[in-house]
Amino acid sequence: MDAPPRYLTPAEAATQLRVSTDTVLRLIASGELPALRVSSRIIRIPAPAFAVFQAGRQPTRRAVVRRTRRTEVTLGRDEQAPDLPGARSRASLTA
Amino acid sequence: MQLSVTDLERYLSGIGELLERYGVVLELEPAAPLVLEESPSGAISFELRGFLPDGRIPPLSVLEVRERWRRLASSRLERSEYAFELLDHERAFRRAFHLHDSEAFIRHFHVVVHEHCERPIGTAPCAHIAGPPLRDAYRGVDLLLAAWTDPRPPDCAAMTCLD
Repeated sequence: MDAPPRYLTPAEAATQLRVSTDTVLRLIASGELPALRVSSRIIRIPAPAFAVFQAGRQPTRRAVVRRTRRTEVTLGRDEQAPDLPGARSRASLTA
Repeated sequence: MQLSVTDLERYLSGIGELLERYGVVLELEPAAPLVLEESPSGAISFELRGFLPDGRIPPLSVLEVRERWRRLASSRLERSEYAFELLDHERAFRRAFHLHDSEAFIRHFHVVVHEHCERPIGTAPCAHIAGPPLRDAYRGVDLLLAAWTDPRPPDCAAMTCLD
């Protein structure tokens, strides 16, 4: 079974929404429909983003809370980086 | 990149909103707040993790955004580390954009930031790949989404190795 498509072109989105491609481009320009401009001529609408838009869902900004932690956060702590102290295993590169 | 704590809260909520508008399902309850964590040194960090609904159950693509901000004397914050990660298990690749251990990377490779590309996951032409600094997580998310939507998986072998 083929994997479902991961993006739509503006023309494909227009067909699904039953509007013109220009309308889709206006939705993208206004920020209502999230899209990726991968080059000057190519715009992709990620399929999950289109699903959110089509369902009429409007994700809003979540509240942010502050918490304290007892230990320091160090990104890349498990990465095999050059001459860093301590043994760094590649096993957790994807951790 | 420097921000006040209030600006950083706004930045984090904006990144969360962007991810959810892109359809990323965050590993959070629907109304749960986002969290800024303050370490003993005063550094502030956050982590957002979610999956891209790809029609599979369970979904096969995981996206992560992590940043660490250090306090400056002015009480403002400066981003000191970032990690933007995509694990695409369906197409078996990993892309990542990193800023951490910058002194070591400058000393060895004369770069501040680096990238990772693994295809299949766990197999890479080299441990670290050259790439430009990313101005913020918005850009990082866009690049990862572009990799995820690209019909061709990344050509890791064609990238510039640092090692």
